[in-house]
Amino acid sequence: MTDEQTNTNSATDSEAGAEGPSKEHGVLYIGVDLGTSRTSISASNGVRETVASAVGYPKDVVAMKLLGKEVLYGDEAIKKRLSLNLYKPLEHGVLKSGDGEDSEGNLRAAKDLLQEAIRLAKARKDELVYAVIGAPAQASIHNKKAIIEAARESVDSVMLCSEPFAVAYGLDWLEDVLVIDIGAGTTDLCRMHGTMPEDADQITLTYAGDYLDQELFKAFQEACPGADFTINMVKEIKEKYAYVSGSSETITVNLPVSGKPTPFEVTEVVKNTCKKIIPPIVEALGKLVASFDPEFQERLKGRVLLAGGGSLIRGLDRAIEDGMHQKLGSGRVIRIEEPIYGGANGALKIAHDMPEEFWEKLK
Amino acid sequence: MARGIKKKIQQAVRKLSYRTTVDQLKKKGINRVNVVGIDRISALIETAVHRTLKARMALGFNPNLTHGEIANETRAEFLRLLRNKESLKKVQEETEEEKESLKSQVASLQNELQTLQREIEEKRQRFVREERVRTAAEDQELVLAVQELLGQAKLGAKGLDIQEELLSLFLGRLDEERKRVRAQKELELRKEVDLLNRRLQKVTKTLDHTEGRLQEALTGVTEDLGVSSIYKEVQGLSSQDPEFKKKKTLMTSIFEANLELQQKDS
Repeated sequence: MTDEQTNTNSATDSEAGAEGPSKEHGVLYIGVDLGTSRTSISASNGVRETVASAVGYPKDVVAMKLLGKEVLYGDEAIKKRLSLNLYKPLEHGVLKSGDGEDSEGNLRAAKDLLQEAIRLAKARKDELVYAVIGAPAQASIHNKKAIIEAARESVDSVMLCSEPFAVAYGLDWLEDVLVIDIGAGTTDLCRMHGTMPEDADQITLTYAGDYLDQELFKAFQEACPGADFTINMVKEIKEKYAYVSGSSETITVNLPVSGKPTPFEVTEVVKNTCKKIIPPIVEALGKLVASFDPEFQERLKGRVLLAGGGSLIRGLDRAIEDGMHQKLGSGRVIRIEEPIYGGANGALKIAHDMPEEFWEKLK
Repeated sequence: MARGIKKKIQQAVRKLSYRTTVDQLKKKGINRVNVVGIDRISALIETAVHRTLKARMALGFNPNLTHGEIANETRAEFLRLLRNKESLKKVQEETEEEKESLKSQVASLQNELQTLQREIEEKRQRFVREERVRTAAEDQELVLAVQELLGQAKLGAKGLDIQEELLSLFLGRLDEERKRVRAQKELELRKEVDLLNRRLQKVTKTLDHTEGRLQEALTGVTEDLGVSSIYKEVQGLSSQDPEFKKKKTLMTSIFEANLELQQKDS
């Protein structure tokens, strides 16, 4: 034995020896935010990951050989979409449905996406895994069942909860709060008053990220004559430059014209288009405030949480506040600190707080 | 900064350890001991502290958490890391041994196959050579016997035609029979070679798999291990939570909605 070596505690050996396949070595909680554009997870082992909600399957044997995988996920799938049958299984906040092969493909993609998201949490085999999935408020029973079925294959017990509720719960704001969760497919507004939100407490709008992509696409067609671009290129520009109030440095984008990258100044186009989602949101906020107990309306207006990827639009909190002042006389909007992980963090907190017997009953 | 902490951990571990000799241990009846380097211990402690703090921060800072609880979590994380390292090393050693054993198996099978293939080829050539000599002698003997038989019969001029016809018939039939026997023997030889080839392929495949496992063990990419949760037990709402009642009601509502949904499912 040298100076650099020390005898270890023998207790360690006995503990190591006890480790086996039984799930007795801990509990991993996972919070999942299943979104139209991105799916994010937060887990009680410190792992946090986000993946674009896209799943791709090689079109043929040659593509499979070239890609070396049977399924590709997220940005990798989007990048290699020409060799793939690409699915974005969520639309307007819910699983795409319909008849025929496409519906089956979307369902399979949703299952694969969810399992990939759970896999990203890096659960140990000897730990119990309990997951709470923030599902869109408007998801149908059929959709919810599909989500549960997909998750069950990877976890020991699973529950669903409404996404905006998860955001508020994660921040411990349970009473007299209005949550605006701007996703890609939908903007969900949810009123919290200490109990589970009912249908009357929730409004879902389709004025969200995808809507802005379409509007920006149309606006660019007018503002950038001769330019060739796709909806994906527009989305990238939006994610980089979107703003609605305050000053912005000049936004210049390079778009190909007859194959040659050509600069276009789009500062005002981006601002005016992004502003289009503000009136419907303020309108919906007005409805939720007006139908609330008049004694608490002022408090409610002062506690508006802005969450979701859409909340990253610069100046949006301020712009909604201005809209509320005009329409409702007052308003205070707080953007949550982590828009991408807000839903997943909240779902993780719900998973943590859920009593053991509830998890057991749903196993 | 990090270097300073590492040094302090090393000093602390050294301070807590005691010095002894092999003879003293033997006197106590200890013949085998587990040995771990001080560098490794300090690295594990450092990782455990970082991981605990990271996990804590991911869940938001909880001002109610006592130093004791943080220390317990860190200790548990340290023990988990220690176990991970131990199992990783064990897997590595086992895989190395398995690999070596499989490598020698493959080499021995390859030798065996080559020897057999060589032997089979030699045997086949010898068989062909000997058969050629033997069949030539047998044919000659047959011709002489037929000639002798027909000579005794004194058939005259017609005798030559009959002799030719008889010889052609006999030799044709004999040749067919020889071909049948040869084909059967070659089939048996081929089966032997095929069997050996299959064995070789199987062992080669196992070797590839073992090499893959070894690579995983060496690079530490043992995905199976995963990342440990900070919780050893199921948690649930704390009765100390200032909004315990409200949250309990919310949890019950979520559970009931899910129970209803999953019962419909079943």
